[in-house]
Amino acid sequence: MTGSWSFTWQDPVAIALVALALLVAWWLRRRLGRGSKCEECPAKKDHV
Amino acid sequence: MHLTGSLQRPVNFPGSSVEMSQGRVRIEGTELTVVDLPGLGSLQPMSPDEKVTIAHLRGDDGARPDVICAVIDASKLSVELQFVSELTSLGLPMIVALNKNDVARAEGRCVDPAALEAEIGIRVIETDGRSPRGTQLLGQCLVRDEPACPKGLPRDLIEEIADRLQAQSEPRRTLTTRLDDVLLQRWLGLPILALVIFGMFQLVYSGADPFVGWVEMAQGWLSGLVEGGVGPGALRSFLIGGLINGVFSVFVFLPQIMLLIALIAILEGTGYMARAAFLLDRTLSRFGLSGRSFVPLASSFACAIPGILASRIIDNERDRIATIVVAPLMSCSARLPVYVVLIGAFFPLAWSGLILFGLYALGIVVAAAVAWCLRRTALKGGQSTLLMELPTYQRPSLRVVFSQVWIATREFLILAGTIILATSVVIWLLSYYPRPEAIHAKFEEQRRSLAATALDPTQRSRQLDKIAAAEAAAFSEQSWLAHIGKAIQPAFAPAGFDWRTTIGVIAAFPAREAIIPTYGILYSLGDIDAGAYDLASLDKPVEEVAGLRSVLREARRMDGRPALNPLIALALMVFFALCSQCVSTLGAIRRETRSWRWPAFTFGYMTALAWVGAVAVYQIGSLMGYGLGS
Repeated sequence: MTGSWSFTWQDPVAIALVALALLVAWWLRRRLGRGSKCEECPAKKDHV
Repeated sequence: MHLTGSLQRPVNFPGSSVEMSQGRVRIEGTELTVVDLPGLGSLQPMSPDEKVTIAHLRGDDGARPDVICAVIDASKLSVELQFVSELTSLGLPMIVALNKNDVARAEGRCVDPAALEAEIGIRVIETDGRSPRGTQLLGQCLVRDEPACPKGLPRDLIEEIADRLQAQSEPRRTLTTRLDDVLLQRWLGLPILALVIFGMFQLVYSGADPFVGWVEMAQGWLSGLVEGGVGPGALRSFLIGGLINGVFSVFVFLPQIMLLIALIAILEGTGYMARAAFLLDRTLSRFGLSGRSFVPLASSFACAIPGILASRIIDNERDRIATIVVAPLMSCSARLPVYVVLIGAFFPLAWSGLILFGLYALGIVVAAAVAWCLRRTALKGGQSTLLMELPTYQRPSLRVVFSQVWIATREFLILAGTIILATSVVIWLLSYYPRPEAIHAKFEEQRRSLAATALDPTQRSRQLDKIAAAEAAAFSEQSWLAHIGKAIQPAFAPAGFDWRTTIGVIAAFPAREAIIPTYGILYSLGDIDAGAYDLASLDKPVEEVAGLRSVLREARRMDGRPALNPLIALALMVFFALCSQCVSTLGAIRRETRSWRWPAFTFGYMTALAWVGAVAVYQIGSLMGYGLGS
């Protein structure tokens, strides 16, 4: 990297959207996937 | 499923239900919790899934049922009544659901439910697993009649009871018998099976194509919308290259995955999958596996995770672990888009099917070799014998097929989709930044020089596009992602991979499909649509196909040599065919083997095999004159 960066108003917006997308992906996985309450359901416990 | 409306996975294959699942239903104001348990043949468990059932029936998991509903097959009455007799020893209230009486009727041996009830002293309700018939009465019986504990069913009287109850007629040659005469015939059985499986894969490739086209159209439309509304810059690049690319790279695979799951479900529903296990038992035994390994391995062609779960039907623990460890070598649906893109970009139409088949066969051959080695070393020990009942052939229930497709689609969207989305946005961020002002100033100077020249609009536009592409390439070469890729690239140089191909391989480790949007970002050199590939376009010349395939073909390294050529593409596909690149699969292995040793071993041996395979392909091909620069 040399010199200063080329920044416009779009850059902070894009970076904020990256963070938001990661949060949404994490939340969706936690809420709907294997990290959700389904793990606590007795029917889904590891078998004997 | 018919009682509670919940989407479980009923299939026409013994041992298909491998874990408990439950649903709730309210009948006449009473809420019932219905627990579906893996099937049993006796109270002596032979496999992990049977242990689940017995543990629950005995209350070992802290939740003993209030009532047992024993679902029995009317066409095998004497065998089923033997098990009902064992169940009465548990001392729990019981109801019998008499299933498949239509099959028994077709064989001339239908059972009168009322007569059966009178003989065994247990309430009997006739049901049909393919429809809700009988479930309303079953539910009412559970709520109103308060089923009683049966007094016991003497085992020595069961044959007599079965003979008395089933209509006395000459056994008929049913459709099942006639079909088995051909499909299980000694010399025809395996070739027919090979044809069926080949036909299934062909259908996946051709049948999903129109739907893939619609998804890509939607992606193109949305990208166009963003281009028109947002000027050039980070936001536009993120929305198109990171977000839309990421989200649609999930949806574009859905048609293939859904079709593959549907076809497997149809095959299971007809009862043919059980025959396949029988046909392959001898072949699989030579490699230290069981005939029951066929179902987990066949399921792994769609996704390794349900395949690994299905290994619970294998009673021999060594066979089961060997099956689990080699299941990820079956080329799953996630690898399919990678194959389609690279084969379409670098190989002639006439070779497409052969290369595709070769990649799938590679996984199968390597799996057989690994299983053979394991069963003679780390998993040395006795082998199981295949003991299973062949279900009758029947028309698969569309409702069941749709439910299986929905379950698989939902799992894919949640598990793979979230990883792909996260990977796409992170890859975009690392590939877009930093943005040195010096690079921007250099290309702005070129644009000003161009503006001062006398060119017609078409030529000017073409030159501006070239400047934009060169600027994007210059930013890309000094990005954070490039630094990471160039640091790792020496490890993959023997396979002919440049830093972008290396990054694609690394990005694919959380989920294989992530390589497509990654390449779309890294090779897009601007705003080229990265998703414009489809299965049918395997038969079109590359030049006609706008999008990732033509971009990959034209991509260059900094020294001017091609980034990819047919040999490197082949090495890359071999790498993907053999590598363990799915975190979710490793998680499933950990869960099923209850240790970190086996997922670590699986990751290690598969990654090593993949690297060796890719390097071998590239080095041997280079010696033959197909490497870079030749």
